[in-house]
Amino acid sequence: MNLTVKLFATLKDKAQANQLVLELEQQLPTVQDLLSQIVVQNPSLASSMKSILVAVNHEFAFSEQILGPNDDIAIFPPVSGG
Amino acid sequence: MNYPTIFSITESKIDLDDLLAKITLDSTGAAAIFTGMVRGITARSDPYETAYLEYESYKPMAESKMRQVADEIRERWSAIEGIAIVQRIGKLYPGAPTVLIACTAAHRDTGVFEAARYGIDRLKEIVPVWKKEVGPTGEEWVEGDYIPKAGQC
Repeated sequence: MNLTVKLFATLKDKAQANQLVLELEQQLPTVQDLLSQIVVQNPSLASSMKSILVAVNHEFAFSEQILGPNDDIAIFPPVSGG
Repeated sequence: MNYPTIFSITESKIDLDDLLAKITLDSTGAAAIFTGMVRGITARSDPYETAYLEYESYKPMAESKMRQVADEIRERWSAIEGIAIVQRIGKLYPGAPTVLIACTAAHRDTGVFEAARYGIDRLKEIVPVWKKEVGPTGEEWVEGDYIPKAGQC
């Protein structure tokens, strides 16, 4: 399954891209599977993975959540607005 | 009763008078407003200067989370009438207001101060906006320290 993931802030700069297309071999990939594959395909993001946040369809998502091809997925560092 | 709730991510200047008018009802007698601005000189701990901040957002999620913050305020302080939550993005220079949270109520002893305080604290936890700090010696993304947990985000 191919998933497109939007990137923001530090992650965008490190990957030098606004989004990534990831190829996942699992039939029902989870958020954890996605994060593992991101590091494989983009080693420049490895150092950011410890405090990465994941959003699926504009809600925070956690390790075990299953992802589908139509999900709107984004990864980003802890927020710093205000 | 349908009370006004305004939330937006904008590149435009924050217009306090306009926002306040929109959340003032016939029954309103008090407003608590918090606004944050770009600080040019930071004296706390290791002092440094800021030339400007560059803000970025994940707009659809940010506006959805702002609505959630407003809903949470209403759950906690039922006397709140209007709520405005606005985050300005783009390149912002020292002195420029960057964020505004305003809550209105009939009277000041209704929790209206606490509601505005809760609003800015919660925005800084869950609304996806980031700022890059640009100073005389370089630039750096500011990262927050709040990690949402399942069931409380």
